[in-house]
Amino acid sequence: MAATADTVERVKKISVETYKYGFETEIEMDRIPKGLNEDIVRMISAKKDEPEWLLQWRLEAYRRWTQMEEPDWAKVSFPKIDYNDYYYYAAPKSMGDKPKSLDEVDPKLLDTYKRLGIPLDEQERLAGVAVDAVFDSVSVATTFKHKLEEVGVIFMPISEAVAKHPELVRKYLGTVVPTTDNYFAALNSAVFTDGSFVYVPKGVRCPMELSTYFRINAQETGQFERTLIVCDDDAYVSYLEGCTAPMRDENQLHAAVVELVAMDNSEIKYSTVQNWYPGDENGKGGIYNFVTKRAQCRGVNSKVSWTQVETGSAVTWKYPSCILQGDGSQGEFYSIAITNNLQQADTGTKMVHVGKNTRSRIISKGISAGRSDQTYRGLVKMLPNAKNARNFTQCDSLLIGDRCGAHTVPYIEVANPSAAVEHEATTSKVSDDQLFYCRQRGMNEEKALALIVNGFVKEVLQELPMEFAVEAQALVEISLEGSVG
Amino acid sequence: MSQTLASLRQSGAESFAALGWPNRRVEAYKYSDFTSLTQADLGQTVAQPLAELSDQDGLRCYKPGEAPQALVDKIGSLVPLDDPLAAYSTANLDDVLIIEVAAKSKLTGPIVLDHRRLAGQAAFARYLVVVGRGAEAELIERYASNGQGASSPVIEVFVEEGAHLRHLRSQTEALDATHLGWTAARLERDASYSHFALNQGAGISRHNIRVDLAGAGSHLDLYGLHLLDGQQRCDSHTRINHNAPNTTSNEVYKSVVGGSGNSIFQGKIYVAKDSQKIEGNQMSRGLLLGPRARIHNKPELEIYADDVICSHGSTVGALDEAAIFYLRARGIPAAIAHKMMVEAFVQDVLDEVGDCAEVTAHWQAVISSYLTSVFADQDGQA
Amino acid sequence: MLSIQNLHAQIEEDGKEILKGLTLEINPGEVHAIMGPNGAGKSTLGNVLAGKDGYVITEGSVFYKGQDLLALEVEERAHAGLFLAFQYPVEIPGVQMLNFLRTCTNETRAARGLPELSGMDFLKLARAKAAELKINPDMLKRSVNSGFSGGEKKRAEVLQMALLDPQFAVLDETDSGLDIDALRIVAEGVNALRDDKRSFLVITHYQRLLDYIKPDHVHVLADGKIVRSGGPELAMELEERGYVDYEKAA
Repeated sequence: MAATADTVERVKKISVETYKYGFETEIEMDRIPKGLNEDIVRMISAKKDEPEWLLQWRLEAYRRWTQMEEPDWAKVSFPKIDYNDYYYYAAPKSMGDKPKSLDEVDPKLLDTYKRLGIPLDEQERLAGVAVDAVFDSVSVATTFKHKLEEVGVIFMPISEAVAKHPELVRKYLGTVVPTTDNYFAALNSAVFTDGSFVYVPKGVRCPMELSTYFRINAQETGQFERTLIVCDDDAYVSYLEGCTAPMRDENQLHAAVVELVAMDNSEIKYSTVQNWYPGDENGKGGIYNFVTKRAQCRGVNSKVSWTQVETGSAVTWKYPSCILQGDGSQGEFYSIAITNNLQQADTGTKMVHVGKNTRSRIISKGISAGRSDQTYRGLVKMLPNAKNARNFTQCDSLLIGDRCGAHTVPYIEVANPSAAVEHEATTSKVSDDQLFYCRQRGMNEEKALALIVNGFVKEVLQELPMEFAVEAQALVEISLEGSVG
Repeated sequence: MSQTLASLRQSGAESFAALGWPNRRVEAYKYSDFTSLTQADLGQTVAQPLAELSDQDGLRCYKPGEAPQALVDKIGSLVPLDDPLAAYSTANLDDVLIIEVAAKSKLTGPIVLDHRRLAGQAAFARYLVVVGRGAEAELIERYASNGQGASSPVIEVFVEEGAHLRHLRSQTEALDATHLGWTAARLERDASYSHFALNQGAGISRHNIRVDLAGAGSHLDLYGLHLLDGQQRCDSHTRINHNAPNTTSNEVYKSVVGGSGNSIFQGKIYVAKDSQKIEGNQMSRGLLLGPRARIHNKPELEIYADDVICSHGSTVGALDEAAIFYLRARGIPAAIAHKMMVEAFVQDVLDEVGDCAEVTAHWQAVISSYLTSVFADQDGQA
Repeated sequence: MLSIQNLHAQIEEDGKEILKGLTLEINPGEVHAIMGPNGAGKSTLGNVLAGKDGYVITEGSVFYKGQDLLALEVEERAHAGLFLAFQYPVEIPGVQMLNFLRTCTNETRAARGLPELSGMDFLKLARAKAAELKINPDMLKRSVNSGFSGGEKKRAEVLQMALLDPQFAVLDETDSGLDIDALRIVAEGVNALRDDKRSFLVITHYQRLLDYIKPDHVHVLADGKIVRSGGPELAMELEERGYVDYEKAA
């Protein structure tokens, strides 16, 4: 019992000094006026030199958005958002000249990414990883573009893809997440600025990891990125996104939409390390992270796996999903979510089994500490034609300290008798016996807890691409720093 | 009607007027829409006599007018009127029977509340059961009917310190009937309560169960069966509140669904802040017997204390073909093999029903006649 | 080495007294066996020495190499060279044995002012120790105690003991759940660590472990106290007569 009181005491003292990405880049910005209306939508579209169809698409989304209501079913609470109090477009002035190569990019921007551990210049690049770096509303640079072009893989900012590959973008954009899918998806469709576009042609195995690094820098600015990944027949790609933001007292909005399309026998592996600024120990500041991510396994035997490590954000609302349409298609969701201090997260997945012999697997590991609240919310749905479909779900929650909450809300809907669903969930604290055992062998309590928690999340960490697994493991430890003694 | 009942009825009516019949946008009714109920589904309101109890040592029954005020005050204190079905029943209540088991007494026979509603009627049975300190009792609650109309019974159960109650409820209404039931219980220190719910009848049914583990050391066992066929829709909604430390609960629900039946189970385990040393386990399992049968399960954990061990498990699937093949290879005809497998599926719930011969025989008879009809229908389809 | 004086310990939760004035002296290089009926307080003694939460010391003292053992945190006792081989080694899913052992070793080394061992050096060391103890090195790749058989768990405890190089080891019913071959291997591991500086406290219900680990002194623990002390012959006597006399006394 003494240990628990101690833990709570230390949680209180936790400092955000551990958030090492909290710096701000001083740079001259080009912004459009604050607020949201049709003119703003037109301005964003004009900034991006977009074709008329896309402007109309945005306007339609905007009009529908004005008639929709913010969802209130998630187990999160935050003050009413004034959508007119944000800037919807902010880009470094220097990017207005459209730099042709990295040499022309403002060194301050390159330095920012370097500090974040994502070097963009030729010599220091991460080997085997192509990076698209998005800074507020624009993409700053995309590495290895040409090397990828050689094998036919398109990897570029979505605004560039709209200009260079309009037929592909138009064919797929909004087909997985319709503009009116939900409140935040509609908002994103109206005002999205940058994000990545990936197309892997038939039979191509993408030779390197693709990665987008999202950075919110400007004040009072929302980030609304849009990512679209299409994997054609027999193709494969592994994609990873990372995100950080400076420490600020006010809340900032991030509402992304990610659409994945997997055709016959293709595979998309999508990993996220989400480390947006979580706010301070009193819950001041932090990012509101309202994200719609959905994959459509259109082709037979196609496969999509979502892996996420969610440690940041003040409020998270996020359910990466798979529509398993193609017969024999597979969906996977591996998640580690950690909330500390006053963070709130309502996250999980949806697996909708449409086709025959479809399979899904959900492994969710939630850790709540401090005064945080965390909910796993998941849907497994077997439609009448999902013959012999299978789902397995394992959902474990760990509580650290007695002031936090952990909740599990799975929805299981089965309308085919040959389908089988298996769901297991547990909630407990770190076992005193495990802690005692480790300490008897010489570890202090903090080391022991980090070790046990890492064991708890191991199954999910293993799913991350190797390049990022180590970073993610370190992040798990940092996120819990101060939550024990 | 006494002043207490009149004002309770009034509150129910006001609440129901504000809420109306629930639709699927209400999270607690996500899989059960009641807005399409017709007057015929609900029946004519006819004053239903409450069950009559014969006296036995340790048992006392009161009408609200004659009961001690402390008992009267308990009426309506456990059933939340913000639930539309509780409000509907309360708005229409006519009489209440208060049943008290004296402290430390051990009843020799069960308390039996038997209801046989006639076609066309609407019934609103209402009971308050108080099991005094250290007492032990068994309560049998049965609902049957011979046609359309609705039964909307509400029962509130208080299990006082150290008392133990086994509560066996069965609902075998006519297949065109509607059943909207409420069971609410509160457990004091070291009390234990076992509730068994057998749901086989009614075209549309909903059973709300809410148990507050309000005293430290109290324990709950909750078992339920759904046996569905034809067009039946059966929805059980359970909420277990661990509001005190050192409380334990164990819940098992099993659904067998044939025809175009729709089984719905929503069950929440809630652990309040500072309710430490909690163990709460829940299992919901569903068996689909036909191509049009459906199951919706929503188990849920909501936990605000850390020294807990809580779990839920949920499975949905068909009968194990390999096992059926094995049985047939040993010479057992397919039809019998199927029945054996379903019997095995529900057996662990039946095992817990206990040793009261009358109850066990009733449950077995219900299961057996269900199996006969569900497999006859399946054969007919094939 | 270890001096326990009039130790009284009760369970924190219900205040039940388990140790009721236990006194014991152990000198460097000695092996002491504590035997006793179930419920005498044998495991409590091991837990209290290691510093497990949930017990309150109401009276008495424990000095270890001259310092007040009871004032130290669990891990500080480990760093000071106290090792508890658990009766029921704890499973830690997902944590690789090798990583666990390296963390334990390096934390202990750091506390003793020794440099950290690199991954490679440690792997070599762990493999060598495992080979000495006839332990399949594949065990190092598995999660700590997860899915280990009873024998594997106890062997893993001895491997940890060999790596952490304690000055004073408490073996809590290390023989329970072991067949005779496993028992022999475990005992050989312990015997290999015996020298004139290292001391052992062997807690057991049965005499058979003492056929393999020969004690210098045998004590009978009943109802929270040492009620009799003697040489190895005392263990033989207990084997013949059982604990009947002591259970009655309790």
